[in-house]
Amino acid sequence: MMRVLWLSTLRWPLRRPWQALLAIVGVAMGVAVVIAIDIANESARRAFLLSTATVTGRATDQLTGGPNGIPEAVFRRIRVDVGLRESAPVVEGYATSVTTPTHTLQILGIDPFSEAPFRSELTPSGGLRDGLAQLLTQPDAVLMSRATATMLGATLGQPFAVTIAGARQPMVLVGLLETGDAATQRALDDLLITDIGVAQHWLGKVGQLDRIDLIIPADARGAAVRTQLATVLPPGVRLTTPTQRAQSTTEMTASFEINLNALSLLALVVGMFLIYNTMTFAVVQRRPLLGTLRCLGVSQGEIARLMLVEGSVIAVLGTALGIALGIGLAQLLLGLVARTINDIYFVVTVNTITLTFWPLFKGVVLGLLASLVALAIPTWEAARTPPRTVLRRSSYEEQTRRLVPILGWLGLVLMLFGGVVMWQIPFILASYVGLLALTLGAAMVTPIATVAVMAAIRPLAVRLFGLIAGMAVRDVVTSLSRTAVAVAALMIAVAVTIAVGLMVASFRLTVVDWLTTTIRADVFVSAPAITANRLDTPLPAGVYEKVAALPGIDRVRRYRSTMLPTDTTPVLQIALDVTEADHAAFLWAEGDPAQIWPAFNRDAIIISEPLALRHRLHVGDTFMMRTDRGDVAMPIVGVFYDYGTELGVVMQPIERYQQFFDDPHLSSLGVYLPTDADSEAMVTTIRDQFPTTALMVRSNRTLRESSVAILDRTFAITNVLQLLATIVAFVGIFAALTAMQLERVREFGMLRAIGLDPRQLWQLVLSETGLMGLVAGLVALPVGTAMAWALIFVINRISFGWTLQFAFEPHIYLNALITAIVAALLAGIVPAWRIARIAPALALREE
Amino acid sequence: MSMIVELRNVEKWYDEGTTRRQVLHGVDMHIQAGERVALVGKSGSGKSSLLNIISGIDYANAGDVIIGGSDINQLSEAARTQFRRKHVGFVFQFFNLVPTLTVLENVLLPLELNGVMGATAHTRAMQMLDQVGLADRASTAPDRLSGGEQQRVAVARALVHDPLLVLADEPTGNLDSDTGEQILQLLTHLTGAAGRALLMVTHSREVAASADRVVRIQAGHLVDDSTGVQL
Repeated sequence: MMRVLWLSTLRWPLRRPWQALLAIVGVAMGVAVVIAIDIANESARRAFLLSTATVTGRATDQLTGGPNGIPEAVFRRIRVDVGLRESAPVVEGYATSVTTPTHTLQILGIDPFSEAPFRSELTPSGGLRDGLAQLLTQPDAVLMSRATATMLGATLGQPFAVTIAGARQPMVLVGLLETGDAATQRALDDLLITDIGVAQHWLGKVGQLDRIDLIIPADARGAAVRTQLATVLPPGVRLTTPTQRAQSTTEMTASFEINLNALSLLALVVGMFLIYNTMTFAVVQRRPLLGTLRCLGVSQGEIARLMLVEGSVIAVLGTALGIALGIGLAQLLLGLVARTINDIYFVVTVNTITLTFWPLFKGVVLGLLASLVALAIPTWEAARTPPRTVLRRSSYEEQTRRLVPILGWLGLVLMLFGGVVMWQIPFILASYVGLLALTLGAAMVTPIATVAVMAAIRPLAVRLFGLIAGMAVRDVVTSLSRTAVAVAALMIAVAVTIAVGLMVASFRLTVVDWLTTTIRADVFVSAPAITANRLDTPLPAGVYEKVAALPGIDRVRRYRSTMLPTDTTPVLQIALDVTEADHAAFLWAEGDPAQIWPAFNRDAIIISEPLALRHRLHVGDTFMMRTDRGDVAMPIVGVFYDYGTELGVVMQPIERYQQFFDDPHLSSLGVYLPTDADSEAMVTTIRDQFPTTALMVRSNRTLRESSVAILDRTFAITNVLQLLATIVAFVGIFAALTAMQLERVREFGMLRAIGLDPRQLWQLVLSETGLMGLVAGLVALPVGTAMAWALIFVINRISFGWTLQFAFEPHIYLNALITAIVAALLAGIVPAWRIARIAPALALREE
Repeated sequence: MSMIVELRNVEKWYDEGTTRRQVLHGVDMHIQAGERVALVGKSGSGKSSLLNIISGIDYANAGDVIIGGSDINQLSEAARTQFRRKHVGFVFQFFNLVPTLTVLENVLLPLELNGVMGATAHTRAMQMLDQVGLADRASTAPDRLSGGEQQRVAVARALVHDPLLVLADEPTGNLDSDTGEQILQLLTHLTGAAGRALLMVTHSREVAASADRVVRIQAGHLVDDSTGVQL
C-alpha cells in the first residue's frame, strides 16, 4: 500500500499519544493478569516437579508405605532377599527458617552408601568433594546449596539452627551442593541433605523410611526383580513410579488452578472489553477521516488494512508490555499461590518464577487475538459503511440507536444460553463457555439499559439540577456509540467485583457456620505443622495420656489425620473417637443419621461431599482403602458436608484405623471441659505440662479464628485478581472518557462562548461520567449476582465439590455501586480539568 | 465537446420503516467537458443526494448515471472506488484534509492512490501547490493553516490527479467572501483550463454566478437549467 496512506494512519497515535498509550496499557493489563496467573501456577508446579526429580534422581521406581511409612526391615529384605543393590532408603520432612518462619526447607535423609547410582548431585563425582563422608562422621551434619546457606546465614563448619516441628534444631553445615546446571542448582535450593539416621531422629521417624528408591532395569532381569519384590513386600508397601507419585500430588491443585483460571478468564473478558472499547473508539473517532479517504478513492479493503495494521501495532506493543508486566506480576502472585498451596495442599518451596513457553505463548495469542477480534467489528463496520454515511456522525449514532433494541434481545438470549449451558452441562469447560456467554450477553444488554435509565432519570435530573444536568443525561444517550462500550466495560468490571465478593462472602459464611458446627471441643492440642490446614506432624508419644489424666477434663477425643493414596489424587483420611455427643457435629448430604452411627461403629466409613462428587460415590457403595493389610473395600454409610479440603475425606473410628494401619500416632486431641470451665486457663495448664515439647495448644475460639484466617489467606489471591480487574476497568473507562470528552472540545468551546462558566463545564462533564458510572453500577448489580451464582453453584461445585450457602451481603452491592460511580467520576476529572481550562476561542477553532 | 456527466431518469429514495421518502424524481442532467455547473436548491431539496450519486459514493435506485462513458450505477463498490480514485476530485465545505499528513502529503495522496509515486508524484504535487500559492507551506500540518489556505490545499488535492470531474460541495460555505472568491477563481480557472467538468453544490449567488450553467433542484425535481448570468 502507498506510503502516504500509511502515514495518514500510523501518525494518528502520535497526534493523540495519551490515547494510544492508554490503549496499549489496556491491552497490556488484560494480557498481564492472564499470564501472571499462569506463570505463577506453572512455576509452583514446576518447582515441585523439579525438586521431586532432583531428590528422586535416577530412580525408576519407588516403594511407598502407609501413613507410618515403611519399616526399615523392608530395605534389608530388598537388598538381601531380592539382591537389588540399586536401592536407596529415603526419609523426608520439612523445617522452617528460624529468622523467617514462612520460609520452608525440605529435609532429605539419605544413606550415603546407597546413593551413588541415584543422585549424582549428592555424590563426590557430581561436584561435592567430601561432604557425604562428613555426613557420616559429624553429628547433625547437613549439606545444602550456597544460596540456601546464605539465606540461613550458615557457614561451613559452623553450627546454625532451623525449626523442626516447632522446636529449634541445631545443625552443622559440612558441605555445599554445587552443580553446573542452573535449573538443577535452583532445585537444590531450600534442600537440606543429611544422613538418614539423623533425619529419622530429627523428624521422629526412628525405624521408619518414607520411601525406598529403586533402579529396576527394563529387561528380563528387571521383570524378575519385580516378581520377586511382589513376594517379599508387606501388604501396605506399594511399588510406584516417581512420575506417578509426583503427578498425583500436583493434580491435587487442579481445582485451585481451575478456580484461578475462571477468575483470570473474567479479567481477560474485562481486558477484551477494554481493547474493544479502545479500538471501537479509535475507529469511531476517525469516521470523518475514513469517509474522506473513501471519497478520495481509498477502497474498503485498504481502509480495513489500515485500521488492522494500526490496531496490530497497538496489540503488539500492548502484548509485549503485558508480557513484561505479567512476568513482574507473576513474581508477586507466586508468593500468594505458593502460600495457598502450602496452606492447603502440599509443601512447595518456590521463590522465583520459571518462564516456560506455554504461558507466554498463551499471553501472546490472547493479546493479539483479543485485540484483533475487538478491532474486527468496528473496522468491518467502518469499511463497509458507504462514505456518504461515514461522513455524517449523526448517521452513525442513528444506526447505533437502531441497533440497541436488537442488541438487547440478542444479549438476553445469550445470557439465557449461558445459564442453560452452565445448569445443564456439568463440565468445567461448559461452565466457562456459559460464564462467558452470560458476561457478553450482559454487555449487550447494557446499551438499552443505559437508554432506559437515562430516560427515567432525565425529568428528575432537570428538576433537581437544572438544564445542565438534563444536557448531561441527553449527551450520554446521543453519544451512545461511544458511551455504551465504556459503560459495558465498567459494568463487567464492577460485576466481577460483586461476583467475587459474593463468592468469598458465601464461602466464608458457609465455612464459619461449618466450623461452628464441627469444632466443638474446648481446647485443641496438636504438633506444629508446615501445612496450615493439615495436621501432618504426629503428636509426641505420651501427650494423650498426660492430657487425659489432667484434672478438670470431661473427656479427650483422639484424632489422626493422614494422606491416603488412591489411584488418582490422595484423599485425607481421618480416624477419630466418635461418641454420641459428637453426632451433632456432622451435617449430612446423604444418609440416615439413625443408621449411620451404628454402621460406622461396626464396619462402615463416612465420606465427605467433595469425595462423593469427585468419585461419584453414594451411600451403599464401597470405597477401596489401601491399608497396611492390603486393599479393603469399606462400605459407605453417610456423606457429610465438609469444607476442609476438596480432595475428599474418608472417616472411620480410630480403633479400626489402628487395626488396618501400623500407625500408633495421633495428630491432635480435642479436649472437652465441663460447661463452666475456663478454656484459656486449660490452655495454659496443658502448655505448662509440656515445657520442652513443641505443641500447639489452642482454645476453641483461637482455632476457629485461625481457621478463618487461613480461609481469608487463601482468598488473598482472589482479592488481588479482583483488584486487578478493577484497575484494568478503570484504565479503560479513563481512556474512554478522556478521549470522548476531549473529542467534544469544540462543543464545549461553544458552550463556553454562550456563557457557561468553567464550574458549569466541570458539572456537565462530571455529571455525564458520573451517570455512566451509575448505569454501569446499576446494571452490574443483577449481572454480578448472576455471575456469583455461576461461580458459587456451578464452577465451585464442579471444581471443589462444595455446596455453599449464598451470602446476600448488601454492603457488597453498595460498595460496587459506589466504586462504579467513583471510578467514573475520577476518570472524568482529567478531561473536565482540561476542558474547563481551554479558551473558548481556541476550542471553537479546533477541527 | 465530450459528455462527462449524463444522468437519465435518476430516482433515489430511502425506506424509513414502513414509509418511503423519495428524494430524487426522474432527474435528467448532463455536463460536458470544460463546463462549470452550479447545482442550487433549498436545504433538503436533494442536492447532496444528487452529488453523492454522481460521485459514486451512493447508488441511484433507478436510472442511469453515466460518468465519462461508464454507467457507475452498475459498478460494484470496489469498481466505483477505483472509478472515484481515478476520475473524480472532491472539494468539501469543511476541507476534510487528513490531519495526520502534511500539506504536501495531502496532495500526494490521490497521486499515490493512482499509482504515481516518487519524484514524478512529488514534482506534480509541488506544481499543484505552486498553482494554489502554497508551495512554501508544503511541510506544514493542515491545522496550522487558515480556512482559506486549507481549502486551497483541498483544491490542489482535488485536481492533482487530473480527474474528469471535480465535485465541490459548498466550497466557499465556510469562508469569508474575499477568500471564498479567491477559491472560486482558483477552482474555475484550474478546472476550465484543463477541460474538466466542475459541479458545485451551493447556496451562494456568487458561486452560482461564476458557473456556465445553473441547475436548480426543488423537492427532488430539476426545475430550471439556465446560465449563471440569467440567475
